[in-house]
Amino acid sequence: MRRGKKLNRRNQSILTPVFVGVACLLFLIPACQSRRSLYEGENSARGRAYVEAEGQRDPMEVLNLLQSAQPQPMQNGTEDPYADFEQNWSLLKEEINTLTIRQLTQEEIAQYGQRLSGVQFVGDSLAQAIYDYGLADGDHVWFRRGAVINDLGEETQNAINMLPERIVFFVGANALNYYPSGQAFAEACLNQCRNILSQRPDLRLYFCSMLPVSDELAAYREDLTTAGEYDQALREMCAANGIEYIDINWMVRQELYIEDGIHFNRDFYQIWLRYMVLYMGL
Amino acid sequence: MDTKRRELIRKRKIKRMKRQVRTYYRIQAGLLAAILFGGFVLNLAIRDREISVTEKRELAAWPSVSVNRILSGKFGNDFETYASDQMAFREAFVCLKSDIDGLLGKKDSQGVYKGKNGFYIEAMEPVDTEKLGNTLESIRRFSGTLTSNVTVVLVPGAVSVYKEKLPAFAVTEDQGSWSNYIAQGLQDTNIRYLDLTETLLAQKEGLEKGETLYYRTDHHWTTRGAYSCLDQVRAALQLGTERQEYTPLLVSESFYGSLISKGGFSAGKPDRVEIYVPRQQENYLVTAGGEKTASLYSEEGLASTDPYTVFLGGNQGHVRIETEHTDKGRLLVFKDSYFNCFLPFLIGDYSVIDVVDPRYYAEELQTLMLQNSYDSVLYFYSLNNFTQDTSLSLVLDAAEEREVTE
Repeated sequence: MRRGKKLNRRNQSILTPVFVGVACLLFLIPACQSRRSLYEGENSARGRAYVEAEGQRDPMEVLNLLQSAQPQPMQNGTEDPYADFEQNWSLLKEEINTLTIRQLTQEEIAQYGQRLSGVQFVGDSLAQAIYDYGLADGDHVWFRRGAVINDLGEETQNAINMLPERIVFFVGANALNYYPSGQAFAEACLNQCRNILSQRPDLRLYFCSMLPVSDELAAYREDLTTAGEYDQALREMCAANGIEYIDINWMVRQELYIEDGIHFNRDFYQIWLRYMVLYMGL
Repeated sequence: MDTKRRELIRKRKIKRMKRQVRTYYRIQAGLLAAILFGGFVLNLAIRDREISVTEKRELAAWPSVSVNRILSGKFGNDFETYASDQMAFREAFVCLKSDIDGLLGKKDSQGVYKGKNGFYIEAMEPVDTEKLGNTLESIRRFSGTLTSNVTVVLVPGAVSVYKEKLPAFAVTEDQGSWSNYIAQGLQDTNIRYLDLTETLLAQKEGLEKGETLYYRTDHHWTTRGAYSCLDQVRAALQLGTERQEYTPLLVSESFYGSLISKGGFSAGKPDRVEIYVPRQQENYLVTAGGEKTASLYSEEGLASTDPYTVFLGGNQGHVRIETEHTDKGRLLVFKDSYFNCFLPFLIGDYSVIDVVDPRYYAEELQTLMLQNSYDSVLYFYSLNNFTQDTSLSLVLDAAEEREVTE
């Protein structure tokens, strides 16, 4: 009995570490195997080099190749119903003046989207509204709420990466409390343009007007009443530097602001969209 | 004297043995405590992971805490999932379980069969006929509004094409009968239906050594498999017989696919990923993810742990390809990931190809339809995904509703 007990304890003291060791091995082997080898051999070197070379092709060069294959715009075009700028602009002004703004159908929005396919919009929440109201898709509008022109580097680069023909900036009242003067704001806009043109000298750049806030808001926010000064500085900067300034002040009506007195409603943007197409002759 | 001495020695031995036994039990208890406590500390110390690279899925994050969630039991359930997902050495334990299952004769894990010759084969999931019916109805309704050619191409899984590689007594849904069900659901319409099962079965004989129609470790078909069906698909799309010639090029030799991860199997021999390069260079522009590039292939995807994402960089909601063949038609494709390796074969046949993955598509399909008059619409899916998909019907129905409200 005693001998059996001795053997039992001896077995325990030998077998326990053995079991623990085997259990560890059973664990370690799959643990090692679960980390797979990611070694790529020489056989795939040529293929990987091909993928790398394809990735390095300049999309701008390819775009030029594709455009030379067909002189017309890449997407199907439609008849331009606004052949006469003044006449059609008058129609828009009439709608704004009487506040009887025609609602665009989905088909019309799609057609405008086609015409504006070579245009990228960049800005703050005023640009965001273009996307939010379903008037342009996410590949054509780059925005950051609350941003000033200095903050829009990433969005601008995204716009450039889409290889547009034109970039339109639409920024608003955020600048009024950020830049100490209209001159400073205009200088920041000019710097942004220089950055863009250093990459793409062929790009056409546009700035929409710096629009005022609503009268109601201006009555108790004196700090937001200097939009006119900033807009004038912007206009002068554009004229001096060959950048196009799109005057949209004529669109402003108190009834077209939303509750916050800074942003505009869908009716405003429907007129805005039609005017963009008209102005750029697309 | 001798007796006393013997008695003393015996008592000392007993005392020593008792001490040894106490030490032994203390070591055991200490080891157990160390494992439990150490595991607890290790799990606390290790940062939570967001994604499992080997399982190719998102891992559960720390669940939100609220009185309501605790009382309703939701927090407990979520915490259990979180603890399971974020456990230290999780992947090693999963592999260990799989190895032990294998030793016990179990040949499948998480719906994946460990087949012959290093093949892992995904079983077809049970089909919800209501979901499938909804998808077919949505396709019928949407296609009824189109003047374009409409084609549905379904690719069977390896479970249909490599039946001989399944383990003995493996039970799985018959993909053929579901293909017939789908064909019946699309009859009496203008929709052309193509099931590639027969084509792939016929191609099996003509393969060279080492070539396979499906990856051994992944649920996708190989580029060779896709290429073998090219002429059939072109015929279904009513494209001519003249086409580009292609040269296969190996781009990865270390592809461990989703089935290894899903089943928790130990890694064996990796798969090889090929691309098929056209003999005559094609010029095209790819718009995806807010960027324009001149290549369908992704270097980042190739360098990742999922080299299959060399094709298009993985799945994206909408990819547009504009080619130099401006005299050719426009194609709209609704697809899953099986189409990614097939897309390069269609570049030479269309001026514009819009590729929509309904699972990730967040734009307005109606706008896309209005901006483009498509000559052809193609639904290109793996049969398994098609029978499980719910996102396609949502996207098609939303486009139809938008049209109705206009």
